Amino acid sequence: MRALTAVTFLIAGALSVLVAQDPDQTRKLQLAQSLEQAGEIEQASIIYEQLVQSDSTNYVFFEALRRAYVQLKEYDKAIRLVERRRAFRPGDVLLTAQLGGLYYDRGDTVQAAALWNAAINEQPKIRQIYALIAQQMMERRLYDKAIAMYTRGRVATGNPVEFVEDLALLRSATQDYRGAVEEYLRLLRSAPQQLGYIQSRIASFTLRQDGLTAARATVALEVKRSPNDIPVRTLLAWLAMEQGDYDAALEHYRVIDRVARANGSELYNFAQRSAREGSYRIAAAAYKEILDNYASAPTHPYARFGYARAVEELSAADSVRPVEPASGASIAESYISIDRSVALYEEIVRDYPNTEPAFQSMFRIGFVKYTRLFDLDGALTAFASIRRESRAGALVAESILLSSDVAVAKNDLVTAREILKSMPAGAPQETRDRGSFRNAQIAYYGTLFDTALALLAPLTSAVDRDLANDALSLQYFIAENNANKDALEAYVRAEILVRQRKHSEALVRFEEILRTAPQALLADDAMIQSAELHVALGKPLNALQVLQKIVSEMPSSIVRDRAQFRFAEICETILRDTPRAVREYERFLEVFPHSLYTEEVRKRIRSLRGDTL
Amino acid sequence: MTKRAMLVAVVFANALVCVQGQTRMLVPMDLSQTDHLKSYGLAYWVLEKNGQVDWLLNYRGGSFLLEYSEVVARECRIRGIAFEPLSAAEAAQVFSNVQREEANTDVVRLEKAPRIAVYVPPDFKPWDDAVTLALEYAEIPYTKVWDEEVLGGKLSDYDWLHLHHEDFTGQYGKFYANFRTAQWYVEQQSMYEREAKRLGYSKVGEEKKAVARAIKDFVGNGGFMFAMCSATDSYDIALAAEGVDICDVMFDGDPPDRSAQARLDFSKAFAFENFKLDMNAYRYEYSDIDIPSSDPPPLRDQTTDFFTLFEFSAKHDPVPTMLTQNHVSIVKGFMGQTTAFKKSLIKRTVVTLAEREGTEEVRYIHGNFGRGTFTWFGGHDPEDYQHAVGDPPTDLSLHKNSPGYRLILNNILFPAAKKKQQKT
Repeated sequence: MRALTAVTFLIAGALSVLVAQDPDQTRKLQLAQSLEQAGEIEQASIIYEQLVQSDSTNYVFFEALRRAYVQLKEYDKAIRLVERRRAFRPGDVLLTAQLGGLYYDRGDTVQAAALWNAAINEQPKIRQIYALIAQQMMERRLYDKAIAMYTRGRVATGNPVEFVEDLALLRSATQDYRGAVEEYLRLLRSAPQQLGYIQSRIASFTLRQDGLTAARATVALEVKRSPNDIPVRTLLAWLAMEQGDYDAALEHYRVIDRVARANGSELYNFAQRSAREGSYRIAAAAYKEILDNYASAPTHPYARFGYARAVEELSAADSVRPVEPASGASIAESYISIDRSVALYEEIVRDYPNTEPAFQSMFRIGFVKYTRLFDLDGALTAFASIRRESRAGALVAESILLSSDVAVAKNDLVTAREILKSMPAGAPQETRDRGSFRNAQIAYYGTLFDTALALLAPLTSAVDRDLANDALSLQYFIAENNANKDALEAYVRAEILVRQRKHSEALVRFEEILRTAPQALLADDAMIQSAELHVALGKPLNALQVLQKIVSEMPSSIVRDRAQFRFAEICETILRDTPRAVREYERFLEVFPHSLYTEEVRKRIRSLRGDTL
Repeated sequence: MTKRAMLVAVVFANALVCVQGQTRMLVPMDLSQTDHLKSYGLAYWVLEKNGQVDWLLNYRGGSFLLEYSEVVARECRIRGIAFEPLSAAEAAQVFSNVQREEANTDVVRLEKAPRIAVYVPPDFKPWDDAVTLALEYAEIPYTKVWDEEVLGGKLSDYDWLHLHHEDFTGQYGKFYANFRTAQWYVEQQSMYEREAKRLGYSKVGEEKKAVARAIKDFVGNGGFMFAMCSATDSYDIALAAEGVDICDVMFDGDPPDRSAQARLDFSKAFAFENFKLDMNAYRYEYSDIDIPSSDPPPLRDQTTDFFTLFEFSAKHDPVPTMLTQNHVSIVKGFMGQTTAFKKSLIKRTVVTLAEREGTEEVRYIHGNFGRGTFTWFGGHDPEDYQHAVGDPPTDLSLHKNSPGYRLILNNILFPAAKKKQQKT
C-alpha cells in the first residue's frame, strides 16, 4: 500500500509538471523521445539536457536524461544529475537507490554498497527502501544480493511475509524450487485463502519434473510438521495429482475431510475432479467412501450418482475383466458390470424422487438401456418419465431426441415423428437442428424421399452448423439413387433393420440388393454395410472378403478407399494382426495416395511400427 | 562395421533388388514434390542404411536418384514423398541429361549419413530453433551438445554441427532492456553463470568464447558448421574479441574494456571484418553486421520481402550449388535477431549464396576454414516472419514445401557428398 501511494504520488507529480509545460517544451520533449526511440541517444540527450536546464524540477525531463546518460554509459553525468536532484529531495529513497545503481554501473561497488546501506540505516523500518534497492540489484544480476536484501527487509520490518512473492519469484528463477515453495508456504500460513493463487504461482515451475519433485517434497515435509494444517495438505494433494499420483491424493483428502469435519464434501470435490480427469477408479473409491461413512452428508445423493457414473464408465471400459481395486475399495468392487450401474441408478431414483440426481439417473438408465443393453422398451419408459418432468431442464430435449431414436429402432416411425414434435421451443439451435435432421431421417426411413429432401434443405444451406455435413451426405445419397427407387427402398428397409440391430436379417437384405440390383449406384454402399454387419456378427473374415471385392472389382466406386481403409482397420483392431494391418495400410497408400484417409493411414502405420515422431 | 550392422546392410541391399522392372527411383524436388522437407529425411534414411543417393544438382529442383526397392518406395508412401519409378533406360537418360556438358547440372554421390550435433542449452524447446524443427520434421536424428561436451572435445564424434541461436558474446542475447526482470531471463542467466563456474570460468562471456574457439577447432579439423540468426554474428564477434572484455557490468559484473572496439582481431573471425560493436546493454543488437538493425525493430512489409538465391556452376562449384538447391530461386524473407549480413563487412574469401537484390543485405553465406566449412543463414524461422520470444511453434506439416527450410536441409546432406576433384 505504501509503495502504491509513493507510485501514485510520483505519477501525479509527473502529470502535474507535464501540464505545466509550455508548448515549446512539449515539442522538444516529443522530438527527443522520437530520437531516443530511433536509437539516436546522443542527440536525444542534448535536448533532454536543455529541458532539464529549463526546468530542473520536472521529473519527466530528469528521468529521460538519466535514462539517456545510462544508455550512453555517461555514468558520471548521470550521478551528478541524480545528486543535484537529491539535493532538493533529500528524503527521496528512489533517488538514493538509483544513485547506488549508477555507482555500481560505474564500477564503484564499494560506494554503491555504502549508499544503499546508509539509506537503510537512515530509515530501517521502511520496506520501500529494501524493495527499491533489491530492484536495482536484480537489474544488475545480483540475484543473491537481492535475495539477501529482501530477507534483511523482512527481518527489519518484523513482518514474516514481507517480500514473500519477490523472494519466491527470485528463488524459483534461480532454480531454488525448495526455497521458493518455502516462501509460498509462509504466505499460505498467513493467508490460507490465497491457496488458489499460490497453486497458480507454483504451477509456473511444476511443469519441470525437478520443480514438481522439489515442490512435493518440501510441502510433504511441512505436512509432516503440521499434519492437520488443511491448506498445506490440500496443496500437497494437488501436487500429488499434478504428478498423477491420485492414490496419494485420495489419502490426503481422507485426512482433510476428517480434520475439517467436512462431512464428506472435501472427498466429494476430489471425486468430482478425479472423474472429470478420467480417473474413474479413484473417483469410484472416493465416492464409495462418502457413501460408506457420511450417510447424512448433503452431498450424499450426488455422491451416489457420481459413484454410479464411475461404475458405468468403468464397465464401459471393460465390463468383464476385473478392475484393479482402489485402495479402500472392497474386492467386490473390482468386478463390475453395466447391470450394476443401472441398479445403482434405480436406487437413486427410488430414494430421491424428483431431485436433480434422480433426473440424471433416470436419463442414464434410458441411455444405458438403449445404447448398451438395447432394452428399447425400458429405455423408452425411462426417457418418457424425463420428458414429463419440466424440472429436468436440458435433459428433456435430449430425452426427446433419444426417444425418437428408440422409436426408429422399434420401426415405429409415426411415434418417432410424434415425439420430435414435443421438442421445447426454447431448446438451443443445435438441439433443434438435431431434431430437424432426425425428422428428415424418419422421412427417409419411411421412403418419403422428396419429403426428406425438403426437410434437409434448410440444414444443408446453413453450412456453418454442425449438422450440415451429415445433411449434405444424406441429401446426396438420396439424390444419387432416387432414379432407382426399388433399390433405394430396399436399401432403406435394410438400414432400418440395422437400426433395430437385426443384423442377420439386415445382412440378408443387403445381399439381396447386390443380387437383384448389382448395377445400382448404391451397390458399393450396400457392400460396405454388409461388411460392417459381418463384423457385428463376429465374422470379420467375411467382412474382409466383401471389402476386398469392393477394392478389386469395383473400379469406379467412390468408396474403394474407404473399403481398403476399413479392411486394414479390421486387421488392426479386430484381428489384432499388426503385420497384416501394416501391409494393408501400405497397400492403401500405394493405391489411394490422394484419398482423404491418407494422412490418417500414415499416422496409423507410424503408430503400428512404433515410430517415435 | 559390426556383424549386426553388416547383416542389416545385406538385408537392405537384398531388398533393393528390383522386382517390377524399375531399377531406379527419382525423388523429384521441383513443384511436383509433395513433401520437400521429408525428402531430405528419406535421403538421410537411405544413407543410414548404407544405401547410396545421387543428388542431381539443378535437375528438377535438385532431385534425388535412388536404387529402386519396394522398401524405399513404401517408405516414401508412408512419409508422403512423391517419387517416380524409372527403368534402367529412363535412369540412363536422366544421367545423360544431367551430365551434358552444356547443361548447368551435375550428379553428386552421397555416401555416408553425417553424424549430426546440435548445440543447444538444456531445457531448450525445439520450436525455438528452425534447424531442430527441420531435423525433427524430416526425421533426421541428431544429438544435443552443450558447453561441457564442446569443451570436452566431444565434437570430434560428429561431422556436422548446428549452432542454436546462441549468444557467444556472453550478453545473454541482449534481451536486457526488455526482459531483465522476466523469470526466464533471470533463470537463464543464473543457469549460465552456474555452468560457467562449474566448467572453471569466472565469467559466462569467457566460457562462451572458449566454446567458440573449440568450435573453430572442430571446423579447422574438417567439421561442417551451420548457424542461423544471432549464432552467426555473435559467434564471429566472440572469435574476434578473444581476450577482450566486451560485456557491460550487468552481464559480467564489471565494466567493459573501454578500448574493446580497437582491440578486436578480425583475422580471428570466420566471415566478418571491420564491424563495429554495439555494446549498449539497452540495445537489442550486437554490432552493425546485422542489417536491418533489430533495434529499433525494422518496419518492413513481409509481402514484399524476398531474397534471391545465386546460381552457381554445378560442374565447377558443386558445394555452393548443393547449398542453394531449391524449387524456386526467389525465397520469401524472414526476420531474426540477426536478419541479414551487411555486404561491406563480409570477408572477401566468403561466398555469398543469397542476397536481397539491390540492397546491402546478404542472407546466406558459405566459407572454408582449415579442412572444414561454415555456412551461415540470417533470420530465425523461414515460415514465421517475425518470430518473437514466446511465440508458438511453427507446424512444419503445414509448410512441407518451404523453400527457406529446404536451404537448411541442403546443409545436412552436403557433408554426405563424396569429395571430388574441383574443376577450378
